[in-house]
Amino acid sequence: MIQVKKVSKVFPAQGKGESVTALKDVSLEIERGDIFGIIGHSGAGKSTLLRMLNGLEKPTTGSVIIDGKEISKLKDKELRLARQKIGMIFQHFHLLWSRTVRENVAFPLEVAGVPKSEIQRKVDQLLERVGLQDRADAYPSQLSGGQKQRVGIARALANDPDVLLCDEATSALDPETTASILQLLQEINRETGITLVLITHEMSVVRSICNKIAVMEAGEIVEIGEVEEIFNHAKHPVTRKFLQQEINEEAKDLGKCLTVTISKQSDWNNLISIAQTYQVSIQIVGGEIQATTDKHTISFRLLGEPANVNKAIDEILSQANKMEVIERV
Amino acid sequence: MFDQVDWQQVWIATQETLFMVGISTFFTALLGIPLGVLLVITDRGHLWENAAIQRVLGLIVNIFRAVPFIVLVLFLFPVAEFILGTSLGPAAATIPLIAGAAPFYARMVETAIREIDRGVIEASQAMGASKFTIVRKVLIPEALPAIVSGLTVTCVSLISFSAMAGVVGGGGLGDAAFRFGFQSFNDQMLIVCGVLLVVLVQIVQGIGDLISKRLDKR
Ligand SMILES: Nc1ncnc2c1ncn2[C@@H]1O[C@H](COP(=O)(O)OP(=O)(O)O)[C@@H](O)[C@H]1O
Ligand SMILES: [Mg+2]
Repeated sequence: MIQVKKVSKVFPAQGKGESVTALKDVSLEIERGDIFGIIGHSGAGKSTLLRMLNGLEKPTTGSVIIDGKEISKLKDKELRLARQKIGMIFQHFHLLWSRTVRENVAFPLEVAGVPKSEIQRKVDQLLERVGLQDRADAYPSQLSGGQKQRVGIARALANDPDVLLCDEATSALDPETTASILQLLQEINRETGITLVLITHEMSVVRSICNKIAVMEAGEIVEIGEVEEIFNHAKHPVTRKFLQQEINEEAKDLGKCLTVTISKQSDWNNLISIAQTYQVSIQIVGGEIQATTDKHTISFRLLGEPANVNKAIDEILSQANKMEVIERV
Repeated sequence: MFDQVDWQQVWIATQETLFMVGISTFFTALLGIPLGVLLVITDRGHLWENAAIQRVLGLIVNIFRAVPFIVLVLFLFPVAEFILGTSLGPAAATIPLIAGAAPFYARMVETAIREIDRGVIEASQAMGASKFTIVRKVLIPEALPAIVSGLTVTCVSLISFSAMAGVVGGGGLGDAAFRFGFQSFNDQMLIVCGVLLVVLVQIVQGIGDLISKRLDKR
């Protein structure tokens, strides 16, 4: 469905600055119906890669092929036609302020030259799909972030695209709204078989809806594969860091939580005896075993009387020389 | 009380002013909006990057903005003569008025359009919109409140410029105030024409603000 072949992108130097290599020899393949996640830190080149898929960015070398068409070689008119079948949504929504919700969703249909009566029907259908039929005549400034993104999604789906590109689509939203938007995307994927490519810097987003994932760092794909495989056998340190970050995030929601490094059996015994002393129980929320260094990290929270929990945490912290406390949340 | 006012003259002068300001505002918008759009989209990395056009247009706009209005009036007499067959009267005065106001207005339109988030333009491109569609359906509608308020400001300046242009042969309220008022030692005439100009400015500003506010959905 989507093939990215040995794509590199160099942004030429501007003024006194140096040229930036945003992508280095990136190759990947996305199949129809995939929900493909691209994760990486800010500046890793995710947006540049995504923008290659609808020709907003042209590769310096290499090629991008969607449905047999080489996007990077299309002429102006063909490219515009191809783009009508590739939806895109953005972190900051990019809606038209001057248009109502209905008119925003109608925009891509107007662009495609759909007749007025048909536009009306289609927009109603789309708004119902994203649950905004009763906000049809509102202006974007009157909507919440989640509602704005729903308009963005309806707009992106207007011309029944085969692919939907999502650039940090949930990064400006709170966790609950994020979950509802992700659920909507997943439902649409199931209903229509649309291929989703989504960029994020949060592993939890990948975990909740993606089936494949590429991890990017400094313009390169450092790890790529099925989500399960990567989650269970992450090889690259960047991937591990993202996984750890997710654990810490989750731990935050659970309450007082510690992440410590344990290298010997005695560390573990020590932890248990502290828990027993203060009559608290240990609930493990995550961990990582590193066979090579013999240093394992575990994240856990302590359950029990709040006063006891605090004493136990103090005790563990005071033994930080034995157990390296990485993070205290 | 205003026994020395020739209301017939005042009425004619008012009509002349309305004519001058109306016509010149219309053509200022007609020239200024496309010019402002072009100044933005020919910019580097924008919709229709074209350094040559950008530079030439920028230069023309700046030259016209730098020339004092009164010089423009004198300078453009022959042009008015050529286009309209006369260099006198309200119609002839519209030529220097437009030449003076359109470049100013073009810069205001340029600023208004630059305010639009680049992401919105990019989103439109991602939906497959052509450059022309983006200009017509995105850039202008999104910048419309500022385009209208810019036109209001320009129209107000055109009223005061028209009073000046009037004195050098254009007619209108400014001319009437000068000739029938100041030069004829008729204070009443001077005051009436002056007040009418102020009222005109107030009305234009009021209507402009109202429209601009109505259009602004942010
Ligand atoms: N239009 C551009 N001109 C110059 N450099 C750019 C441009 N777009 C992106 N870059 C650079 O390319 C790198 C990757 O950017 P980007 O793809 O936006 O990263 P991400 O989306 O992963 O945060 C960054 O160093 C960024 O500064
Ligand atoms: Mg980005």
